[in-house]
Amino acid sequence: MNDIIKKPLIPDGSLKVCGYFTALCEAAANVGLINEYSMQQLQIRTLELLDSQIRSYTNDSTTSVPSELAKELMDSVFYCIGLALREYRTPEEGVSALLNNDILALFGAGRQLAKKKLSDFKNFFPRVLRENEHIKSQAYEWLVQKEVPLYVRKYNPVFFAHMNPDFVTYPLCYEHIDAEGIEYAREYIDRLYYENKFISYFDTKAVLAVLSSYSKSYRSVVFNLFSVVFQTALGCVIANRDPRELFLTRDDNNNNLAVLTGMDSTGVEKLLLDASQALFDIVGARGVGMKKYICQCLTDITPVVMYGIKIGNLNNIFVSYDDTKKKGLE
Amino acid sequence: MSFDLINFSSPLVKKIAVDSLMETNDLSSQYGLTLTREQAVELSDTRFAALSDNGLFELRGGAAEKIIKTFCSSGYIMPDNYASVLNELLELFYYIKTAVNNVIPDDELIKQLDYLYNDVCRGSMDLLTGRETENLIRNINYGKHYKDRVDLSEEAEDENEDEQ
Repeated sequence: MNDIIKKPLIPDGSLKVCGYFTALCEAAANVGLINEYSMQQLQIRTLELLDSQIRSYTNDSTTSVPSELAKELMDSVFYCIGLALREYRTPEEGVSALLNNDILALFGAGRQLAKKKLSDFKNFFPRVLRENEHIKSQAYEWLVQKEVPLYVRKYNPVFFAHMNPDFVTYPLCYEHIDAEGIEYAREYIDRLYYENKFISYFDTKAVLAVLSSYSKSYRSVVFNLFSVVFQTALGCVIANRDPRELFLTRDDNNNNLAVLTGMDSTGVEKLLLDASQALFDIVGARGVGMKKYICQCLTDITPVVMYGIKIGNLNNIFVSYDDTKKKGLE
Repeated sequence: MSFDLINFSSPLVKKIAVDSLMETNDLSSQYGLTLTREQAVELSDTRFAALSDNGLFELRGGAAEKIIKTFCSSGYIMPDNYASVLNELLELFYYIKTAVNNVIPDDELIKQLDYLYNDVCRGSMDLLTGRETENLIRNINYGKHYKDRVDLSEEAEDENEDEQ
């Protein structure tokens, strides 16, 4: 009997990170952890908090603010409380904290967390840059030289902690991020770090050869550099070539096409996943986070490969180029 | 249960607003003026409509509370016109706030309205909402008392210097 484990009313991981506070309140209400009266009290306390944020933001000069601004201030309050609540071991402990603690204290703790995360972000960012000093495009440079520093300068954990960055110039290989505010920004540069780290396992000349074969003016074209290198390396593994050389011929790709034709997307994804694991071993890739992210990327890469199979051409997916060009590069 | 709080139709936001207005009776009753619950609800509805029309958001009693605290001592406001004057003042307040782009603090605007209503218009709401309101907006937008005037003066000085 002692082995019976009580099933949590709100399972861990069942709530999205985005909008965690409201999602937790609603989930708690649905399973009866928060009754109608407590919910109303929570709402009143949250409104009081918003009121004090509005007064603080306007230096107490006005009680009314544009609705859009009120919404932003409220989202920031929700975001900070959500940050504090996610620190608890389980959602149910979070609910208990909501009911028993002063919401102002939770908000303050969340705001401190946002500040800490900003500080961690600033410390980590130079590492991202160090991982990739040679393989750059204009879009990448714009991101790391303009957009990221601008976000760090403008990020306001006091009133707008929930604000997402405008990292729009350079796309990641896998862009879906379930996070907001400084956590979104951190996840973005973590992924950029993994992408740069992966590219660093290859010889710079080989990477440049692949990129310039993919697009002669690759520096000025907006595309994700990592995905081209990664896909080509996968093509090499499937074609039984050494992926460290990043060299594939059209004949290799014709063979790859023959291997892949007839497979459904699940089969292709499985094959790409196996190839990725082999690739990690060959290039000596380490780090659970990086491997996990790269495997996530396969979600977006598989449809691209499926399309290549459909049109009978994989040359721009597993980038191929001729021998003479390779010799020229050497 | 929803957590959509930035919403004037939220019963909770409405209730908090009406309760705050009812609390002002403690002060205004000293001058023989009180709001009934119905009048407080009506005033609250006027306020939310004005806020909504002007794209603004406000909690609790907001400016209505401040207006009541300032105007309840006016000799031109009687028990029978108390609620209607408050409704009109409130609409006027948000109209002016928006027309001057929120550059004037609440307390300053209420002070101006108090002076105009009691000392200039002698309790005439028609005069206040017509001529004086437009004058006030013009004065705030181009007058000497507010920070944007400083910017305008600096611009004018710059232009003069350029001409010279």
